[in-house]
Amino acid sequence: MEMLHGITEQEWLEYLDGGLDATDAVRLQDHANTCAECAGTLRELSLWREKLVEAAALVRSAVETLPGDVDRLLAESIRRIRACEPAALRSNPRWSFKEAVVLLGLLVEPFCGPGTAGAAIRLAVRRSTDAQSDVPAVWNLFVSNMSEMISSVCGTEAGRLVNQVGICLDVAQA
Amino acid sequence: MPRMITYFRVRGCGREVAEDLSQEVMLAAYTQSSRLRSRELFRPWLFKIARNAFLQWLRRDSREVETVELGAATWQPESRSTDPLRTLQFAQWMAALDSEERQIMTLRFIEELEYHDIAEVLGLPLGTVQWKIFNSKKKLARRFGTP
Amino acid sequence: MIERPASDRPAKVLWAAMATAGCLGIAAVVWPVIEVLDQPLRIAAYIIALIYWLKISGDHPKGSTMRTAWLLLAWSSGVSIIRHSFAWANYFAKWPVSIRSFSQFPTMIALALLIAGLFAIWFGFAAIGLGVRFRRSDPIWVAVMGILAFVPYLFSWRAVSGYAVIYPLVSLSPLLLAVPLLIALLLHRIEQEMGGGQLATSLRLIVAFLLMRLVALTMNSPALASFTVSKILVGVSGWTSIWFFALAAAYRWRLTLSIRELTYRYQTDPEAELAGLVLLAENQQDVARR
Repeated sequence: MEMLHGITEQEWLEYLDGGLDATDAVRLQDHANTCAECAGTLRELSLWREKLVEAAALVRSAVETLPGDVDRLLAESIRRIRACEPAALRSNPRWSFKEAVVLLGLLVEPFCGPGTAGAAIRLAVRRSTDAQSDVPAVWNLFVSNMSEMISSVCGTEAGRLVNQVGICLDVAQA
Repeated sequence: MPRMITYFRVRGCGREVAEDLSQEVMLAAYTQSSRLRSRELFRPWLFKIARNAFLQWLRRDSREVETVELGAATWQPESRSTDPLRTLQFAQWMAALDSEERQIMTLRFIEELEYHDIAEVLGLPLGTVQWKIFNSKKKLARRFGTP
Repeated sequence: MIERPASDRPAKVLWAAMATAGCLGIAAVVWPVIEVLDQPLRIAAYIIALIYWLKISGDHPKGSTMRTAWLLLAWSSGVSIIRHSFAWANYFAKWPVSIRSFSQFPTMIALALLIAGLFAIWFGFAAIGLGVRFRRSDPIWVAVMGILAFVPYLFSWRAVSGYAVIYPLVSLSPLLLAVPLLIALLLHRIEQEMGGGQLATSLRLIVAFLLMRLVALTMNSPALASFTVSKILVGVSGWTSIWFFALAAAYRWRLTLSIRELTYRYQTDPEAELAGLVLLAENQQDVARR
């Protein structure tokens, strides 16, 4: 960086921005009071700073986005983000098996009641469980069995819904 | 979002293109959020994404990357002939600077980024950014005088 | 394209129709001329029930127990339409007993189909473990229902017909009354075990239909029919019972529509719906902790 009379460009800019510490600011101002060349540089930089700030403000106002357009664009951005979300989420399992079972149970309760939901879950777990352990090995198998149980009493659409939501849930395999 | 649109508009994009690119930036920011090292770096990080989106758009449209910054004399006439920004004084001043100076001055005065943010966005040392700004003002003063 | 479901309006209309039928049933005690509306109203209710049961059966795969159940209920409704059309025609034609007694055939067939359908419903739930546990009070209920079922039979020996085949049918009637009542008890236990939900509402309405039928038949037996209270009870229960059947079908169909609506919402915005589900789970956990 070049120095003009011991003052760097950085110090000039920071002095104008008010970012210089008090000691250096006094040093620079004192020098500008005594050196015509540096006083000229300071005036130039200061005036152009003001002009550029004003002109830039005009540019920003020329391309200003209306609040209504901002809302519309934000909504569109959110829609695009949500459309991408499932792919991103699939790479990051979020639910334990038990949590996901609870969610599926809550899904069907308004239709078939908590008792039916519980019965279907118990039966689906039993059918999906490895005989050696009490933890179902594969979430998809549980969802398939649960879907079958629910569709047997509530209809095919209910079973399809369970399947759809079960697939949406990213479950960490045991 | 408005700042993103301004970013693209002052670089010669039409309103619709600017809105589209802004949404691409939002989406990219969301999907790449894990790459952000710290919150303090958010602004320069976002503008880096914006800059990349802008450069990709230029390449898609087969424009010359180096020349389509604000105020460049080699803009394609059909894309700029009706651009009101060209009539603004800021654009006229920027045309007097070289490409890198133009980028830095635009980020400083239009996007109002701090020196260290500009350095982060452009991948330049902080001292270089400050020297370039100093030099740009001197150049403008020599070219257009001091009022 | 997922169709958007209809509103609750059909159920509200049916409740209004039931209330109207009940009022007309009481009014018929005072003004017998109103009885001309009895059969048409039953036919209308059975037509509505038939349409709904057929739609509901389409929501189950072919060969499934529940599909068979809903189809049996639909056929029972269809045969009942024939039976009540016959009765309505008789209201104007005033046929002799020998002709009128033929109504026993569709009556028995409709009852048999109803029993088969209700049994299939119980079987469908039993397959997932519901409706297979009984309480200590159940034998008492069975005894009460058995007695009530025999009340009409005790007076049915007076039935007169020119056809010998009619009498065995008549003698079967208590059995065909008692069995639906037993199944009503089973369905009641199932809906208790379900603990709520739209499907439980449908079962509850089927139980109400069966109980109201029994009340109407019991109160209409010759020993009791002469009392004014009995006449009013017959008026209310007899005229409204079939509307419980139609309502049961309407509520079961509404379940399918609700599921379709929810499926549509999950297809449109799965993350928002899952977020709502998670919030519900968290709220329930908070309530449980408290």
